[in-house]
Amino acid sequence: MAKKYRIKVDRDLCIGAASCVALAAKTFQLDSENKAIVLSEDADTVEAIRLAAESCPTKAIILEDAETGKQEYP
Amino acid sequence: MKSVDFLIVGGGVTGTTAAQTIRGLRPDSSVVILSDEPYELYSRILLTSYIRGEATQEQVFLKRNEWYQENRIDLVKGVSAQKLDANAHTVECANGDVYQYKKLLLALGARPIKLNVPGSELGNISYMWTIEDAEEVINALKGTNESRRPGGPLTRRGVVIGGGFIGLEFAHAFKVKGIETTILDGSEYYWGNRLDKQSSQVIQNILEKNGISVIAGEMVEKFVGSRENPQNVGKVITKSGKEFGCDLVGVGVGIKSDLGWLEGSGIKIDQGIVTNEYLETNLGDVYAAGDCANYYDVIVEGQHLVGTWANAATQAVAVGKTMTGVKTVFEAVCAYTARFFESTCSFVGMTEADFADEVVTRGTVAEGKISRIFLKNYPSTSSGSMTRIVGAIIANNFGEVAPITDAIKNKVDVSQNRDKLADANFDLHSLPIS
Repeated sequence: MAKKYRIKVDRDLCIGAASCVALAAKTFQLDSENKAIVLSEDADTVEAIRLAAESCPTKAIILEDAETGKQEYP
Repeated sequence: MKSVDFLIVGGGVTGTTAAQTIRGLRPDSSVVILSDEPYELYSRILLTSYIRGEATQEQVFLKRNEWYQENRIDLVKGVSAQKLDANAHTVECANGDVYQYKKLLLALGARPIKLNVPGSELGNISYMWTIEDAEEVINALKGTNESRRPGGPLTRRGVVIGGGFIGLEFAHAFKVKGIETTILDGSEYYWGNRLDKQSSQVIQNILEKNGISVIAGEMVEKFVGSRENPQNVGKVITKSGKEFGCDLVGVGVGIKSDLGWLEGSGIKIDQGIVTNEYLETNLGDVYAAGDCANYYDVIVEGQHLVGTWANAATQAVAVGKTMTGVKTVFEAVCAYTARFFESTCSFVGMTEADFADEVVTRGTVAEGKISRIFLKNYPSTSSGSMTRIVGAIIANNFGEVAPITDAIKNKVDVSQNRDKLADANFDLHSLPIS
């Protein structure tokens, strides 16, 4: 089975810098409070999702392996 | 001389993200990052949280040494590039090392503009740009009200020099730490170099409501050392002769890329390094991205210089692809929102006043929120001409960021709705996104 992430956003950390939205637009969006929300967990490639998470300047995006639940980032 | 496939000058988010992208596409290539800082990638954005005590130093670092090893990215720390020879495909460093590249990325970032007045060298004058800057502030704050022991040193007054985002960050951080804070801005009114009078008033009112004094029209003449610790700042004296006693100064008077070393290389520079929509410079195999790139913005159809984190990360991915042969147009609407005291100020798209043909203002000072929308006329094949939103400065009106961003991205013709735009009750979500 292809790799899949479970994606979480720590709203306390998110400052709405929006690099995740720019790099994985089908996955992330900013809500009315300027915080990132997850639209879908499999619309972008895992590479794009990974890069989007790693580009976050506040490490607010948490990636877990959807199958094992193991945290992979940060 | 060292030969590398991909040489990246700059170890910030642009250089690091580009290296990561290149590594993904070219697993067997050699990738070298030259950084003039002695650190792995860290988050400048988190420095204010670090100062406020809301983030640890560990959290501030985004990459560890192991990450570079795992990805086989050679990070050379503490070296500055000194000379580019595009014909020979070489970059010479200040320490004498010479790198020959196949492809070169200039991801130079920017540096804060330093005040050059008497006393600038005094302690406790910070620019909030590097880890060292943040640590200087943290050390200075150790004597603040909240941690003061009876008889111990007392840091109570902070002066922020400059309106703008960095100034806002300083003011917010100082205030959170219980410091009596004054902002001095050299413009005729607060943040006058970028905001109109009304938007300026909206932001100033929020600051004043939160106990910060804002004084415009005051330029710094000099800093004077404190009586108790003459090596540290104790007073700001302005050109008009006013004196502001202080224990701590935060300066945010703009940023600028250090491009001096590229002189003579033949690279085209106009405020930043000029690139096309692929982030290619006029020199073969030389690319530029991030804060230092004055790129061709395909959405607004003009050169554009942007200094935000998201822009840097996104350009890095595009340029990384292009450098490996997957030619990729960089296409994005840049946006930045500062959050302070439960309020916001956002810049979206192209906000250079001379680029726009017209500026429409929505909202009022009394309402406490104002959006200024920048409009530009473009030729159109169907109707002769169209009017598009190219940018906006949005003072405490965050709900309008998304519809305005969409309208810019989708090149919506607003000629039919032009008159309605100034009506704050007109819902921008109703603009037709074709």
